[in-house]
Amino acid sequence: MAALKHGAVAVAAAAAVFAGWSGYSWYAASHDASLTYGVARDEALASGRTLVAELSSLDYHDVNGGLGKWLAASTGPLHDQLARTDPKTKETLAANATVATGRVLDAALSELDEHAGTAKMLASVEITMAKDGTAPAVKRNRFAAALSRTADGWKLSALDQLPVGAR
Amino acid sequence: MSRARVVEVRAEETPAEVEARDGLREGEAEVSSPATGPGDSPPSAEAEVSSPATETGHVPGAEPQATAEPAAIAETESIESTEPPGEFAGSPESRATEAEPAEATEGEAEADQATEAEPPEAADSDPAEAEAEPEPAKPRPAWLRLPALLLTAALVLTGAGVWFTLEAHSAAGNPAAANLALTDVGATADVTSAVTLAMNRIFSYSYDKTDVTEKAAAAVLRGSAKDSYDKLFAQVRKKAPEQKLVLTSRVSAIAVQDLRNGHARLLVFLDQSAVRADNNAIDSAAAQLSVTAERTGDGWVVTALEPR
Repeated sequence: MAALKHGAVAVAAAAAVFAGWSGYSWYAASHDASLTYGVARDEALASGRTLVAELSSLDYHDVNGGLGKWLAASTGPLHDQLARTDPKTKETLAANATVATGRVLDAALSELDEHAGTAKMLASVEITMAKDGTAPAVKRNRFAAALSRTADGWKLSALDQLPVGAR
Repeated sequence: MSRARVVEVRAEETPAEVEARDGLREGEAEVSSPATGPGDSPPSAEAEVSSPATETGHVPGAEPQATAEPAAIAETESIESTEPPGEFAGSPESRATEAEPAEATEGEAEADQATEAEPPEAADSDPAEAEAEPEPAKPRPAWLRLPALLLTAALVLTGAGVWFTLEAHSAAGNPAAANLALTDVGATADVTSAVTLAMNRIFSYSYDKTDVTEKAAAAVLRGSAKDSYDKLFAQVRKKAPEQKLVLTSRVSAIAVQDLRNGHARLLVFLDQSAVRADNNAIDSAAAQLSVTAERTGDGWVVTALEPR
């Protein structure tokens, strides 16, 4: 009887130690700074690629809809700037009769401040300008994008082209 | 004695009442006398029930008397205490009819007393038995229950531990954790500066010193990067002296995409400016490269170059 009791106590204690240790290791692994930081980095990069592609695309058939997408993809100074788009610019965009489609060829985060929720991203973007009746023009652009984390996820707070000699 | 007390108590009552009571008393005595008789079943049952109680305190020989007298006392006392005095003025008939219920309640009271007396005895006897043989009665379930509970807890804890371990492994195996780009600040800075330096060197040349650039390229390029570069540079070596070409490349922006196990992939933006000394024509160009680098004993070497 006593042996059974002691054996059971030992087994239970060993199980408790195992559970405690494994629980701690799970906690440590999932709260590891490099893991949470890495997850934030990958999220920011994935969001950034999508957002840059959105902001380098515009269909003249629906300029207002396109601008709405731009506003939804942006925040901060870039959002303010886009929100100031006057009717004349919209008319010009519509009159261009061009469907611009941006595709991110490659992108990488150059900076990430997880606590502040800001990041900087480099992107190589291929923009195809399709105009009715003419052959589409393909252009490669280099962009430096600034990302900010908002309640709705990462948004672009800046998107600047990097021409030669920009820095 | 009890009857004397009854008379004393009732001396305060009016003679008529006393007469009525006396009549009642006689009637009652007649009613109650069979009750004290040994032959009748209810009293005998009463006596039997009360016997354990009387064993503790009362003298056994006085049993019939004791039961008879307390019966009267209990009867009268119960009447006095429980029933309001006004009821004593009731008719003898009503008293007589009430006497039986009183007796019945008294019997019940005695029975109650008896049953009350028994549990303590039973309680007394239990510890005695428990002292005599403690093992089999109470502790057995506890002895059996404790190991079972502990083993169940052990099973649950082991299951939780296995789950936690699997979660910990999957968390550690998260690709986001394996990629050290930006998360390992030192390694990221290290590969960034190495690749920046390499790009600046291998994509800058002067028509009169192409060997310097070739040496630099030989030091940092490996694999497919070296093959493609060599093909390109064969043309440079042929044409650059003719055009007196000086090419200067500068990394304008660079970022690490992936960094793990001594392998890295970077996105590099190059600003290139070419000057032809023969006609002083200046041309500038932008280039985007995806660079794959590998760590060797001496530092980082570039293994692949891909225009982006």
